[in-house]
Amino acid sequence: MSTLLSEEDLNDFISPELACTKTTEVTHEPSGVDPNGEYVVEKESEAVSKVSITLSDCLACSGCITSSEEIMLQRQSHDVFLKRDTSRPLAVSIAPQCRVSLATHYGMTVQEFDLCLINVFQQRFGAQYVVGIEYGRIISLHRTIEAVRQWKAQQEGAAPCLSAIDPGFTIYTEKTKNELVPLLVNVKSPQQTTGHLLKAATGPELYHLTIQAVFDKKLEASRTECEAEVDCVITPRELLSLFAETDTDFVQFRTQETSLYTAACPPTLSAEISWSSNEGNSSGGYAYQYIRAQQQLYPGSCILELPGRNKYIREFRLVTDPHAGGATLASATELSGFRNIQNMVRHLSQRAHPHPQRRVQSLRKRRVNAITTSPSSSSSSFARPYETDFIEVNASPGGAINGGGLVNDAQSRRQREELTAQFERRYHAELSSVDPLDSRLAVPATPPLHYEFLQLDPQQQQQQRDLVTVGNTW
Amino acid sequence: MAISLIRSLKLQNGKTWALDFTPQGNKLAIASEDHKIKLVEIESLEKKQFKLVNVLDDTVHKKAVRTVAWRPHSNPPCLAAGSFDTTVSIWSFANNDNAIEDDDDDDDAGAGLEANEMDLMAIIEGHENEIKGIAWSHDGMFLATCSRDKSVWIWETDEMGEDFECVSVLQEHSQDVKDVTWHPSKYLLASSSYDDSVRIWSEFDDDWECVAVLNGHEGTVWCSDFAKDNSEETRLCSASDDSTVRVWKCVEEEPDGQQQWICESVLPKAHERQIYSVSWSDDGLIASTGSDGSIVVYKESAPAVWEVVETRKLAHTVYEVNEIKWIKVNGRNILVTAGDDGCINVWDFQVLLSQ
Repeated sequence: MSTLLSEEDLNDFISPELACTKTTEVTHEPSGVDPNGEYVVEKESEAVSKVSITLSDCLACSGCITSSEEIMLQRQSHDVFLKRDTSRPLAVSIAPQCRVSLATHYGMTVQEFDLCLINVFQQRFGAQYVVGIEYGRIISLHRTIEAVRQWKAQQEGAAPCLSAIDPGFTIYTEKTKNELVPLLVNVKSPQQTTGHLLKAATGPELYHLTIQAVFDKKLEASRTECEAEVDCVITPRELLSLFAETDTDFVQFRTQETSLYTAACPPTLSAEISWSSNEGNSSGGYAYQYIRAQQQLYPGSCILELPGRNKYIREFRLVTDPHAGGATLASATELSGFRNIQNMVRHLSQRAHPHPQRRVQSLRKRRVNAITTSPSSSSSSFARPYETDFIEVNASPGGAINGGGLVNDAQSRRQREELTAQFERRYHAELSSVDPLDSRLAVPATPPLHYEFLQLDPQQQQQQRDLVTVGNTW
Repeated sequence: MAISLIRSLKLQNGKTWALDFTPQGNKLAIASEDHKIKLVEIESLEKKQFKLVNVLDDTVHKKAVRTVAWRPHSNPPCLAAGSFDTTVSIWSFANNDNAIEDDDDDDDAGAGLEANEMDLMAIIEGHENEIKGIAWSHDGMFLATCSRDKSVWIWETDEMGEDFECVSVLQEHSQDVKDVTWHPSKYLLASSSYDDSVRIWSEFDDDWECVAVLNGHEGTVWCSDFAKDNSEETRLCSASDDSTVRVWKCVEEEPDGQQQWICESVLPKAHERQIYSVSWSDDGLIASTGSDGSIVVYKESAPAVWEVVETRKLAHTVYEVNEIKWIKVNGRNILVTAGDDGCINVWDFQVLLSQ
């Protein structure tokens, strides 16, 4: 059992419940009349059947986190990486937030860290390729923009669609707010897309290890429809354990050899783009890039950035020239952290299923009629975060730059926030930036890569809700 | 006898879990196992007259109502109720001054009861398990809720009590959170838990953070209550499964916002079993009750020196007592308890001055 994954570290997860329904399952023999005509009472069978848990079980159950954790450890750990079939060629990819966190840890610039990482994986672990994930991100961004445009065209005036790039939020939605699953954009994340590109360049026998900022990325890679693209996910914290357990002195591999970038990149890709980042927030900037893409369709329009009620929520709004009325052309929200997700979920669920209390509604309607003034113009300076076209959601407050898997030795919440702010600054200062909307970028064509979300029918949803109430009531 | 029963109000067969009184002290809201919220008016203490004036729509909660709290400074009065069905309901008295015609087709009963009609203003969802405690901040701006899901949530609300936005989800407790309570004049929240600790929370930046953990109890902490003596000191009493009541004091606030608390006193042991509820009166008395069915009142005879001034055994016959609260009615402090026998008991308490 890895000590790295203590409960405390799993703060990417959203408030798990107590009971796993699967492990406590006991087979019951039915009550009724036995073949001899005697009445038998239902009883528990002698042997409690041994239960093996799959990720689909975990998704379908509103139970504990333990089982998910078990799966992650079984399939996604540095131990598993060390025991891999070494005859398979190895490719390593790393998310940009991890590079900043680890560069800070080793007291290096991000470039020094990158070269050192390439060197160590090539020299010590025999990696063929070591790459950043920007290609995967550009493809995910393009597909997301397409999907939001389609959603907007088909569902004018309906609820916003939601990004599913953060697996913590996706799993939470599937498990506990299944009625919102139809809102999720099923475009796969850069982690998965990068895996697809690497395997397309090499062959399916390639072993793809990826280093990611949040633990939930392990669960993402364990989804049936994601297995082909990623073989193992570890976090920077586990990377340090991997080095410690293999007696690898990371800093000994320090090098000035910038040609390593190209040498460790598949010939079909450009190393420069692969190791870049792009404008927008440090989790990918999906909301911002969608608005930028829309702006290209409306010459003369401008982007407003509107603050929300706390620093982890804001809106980007594309409006016509303010002198020409400032009408809204497109809008997108970026929000993160559990409380903001909760508020969003309540707003969207209520919209999908208005509360059946007739009296509340009639009362509210009357009051609203009484106090309503002119309809608020689009140039109002506050975000209306749940009325946009698209919401980019991240479970960690501030996004992946605050991921639970990063190396962050802060003792208190305030220190942690300071260090995260430092990561954020370094991310924007040290990573080179590409424009994902630049049509001159040579981005390999890929088939659409989609998640297959778990969708429950209404009866199953009710059963899930009923589970919540079992147990002690004090 | 310093504690004498004014009246026992039998409300139902199931448990009465909790009670709260309007800031005016004339109306009690009662949370009960039968999924209902009941309103009892104190018509006359002298004549010992009480009246059940309303039972709120019992289809709203699908499980026991565990906790109730009136919102301070709210006109018309506003009530929050937390239930084992994981939701919190918000109620407000129907505003009859409202000039807008009531187009509902229901005919209300007698005119006297009409004044006690309450409208459901909102249902707050978010917790994953039973709600155990709720509390409004002193100015009614924030509502805190806690649950068996181990979390404490803080909600900000508008003047009408219709819109609630979650401003913080606090997940540091490792077990079931039993109770939340606010400081009488500051934005300082205390939460009590099955993990044997009390945590103190304060606002920082645009979120809330834990500024102190009070460790010392050797069992579940069921309830806590801040001192209401308006002094510069911040003190809190807490009641536990370990059958003690403790008084804690904040001795230092550090520049980074963290607070140093000490356990100032362990009150004289007067309960034989778990203590479920504790209440600190505005004139400095602490009352406790719990599983052994006793009411105990303590007085601070010298700074940090406490003595038991009165004990009343079998307050709800052989049943456990779930909550105790001081109420000020016409300038006089009385005690009200909620028991497993389905009763609300109202007690007179006279302070016997020692001089």
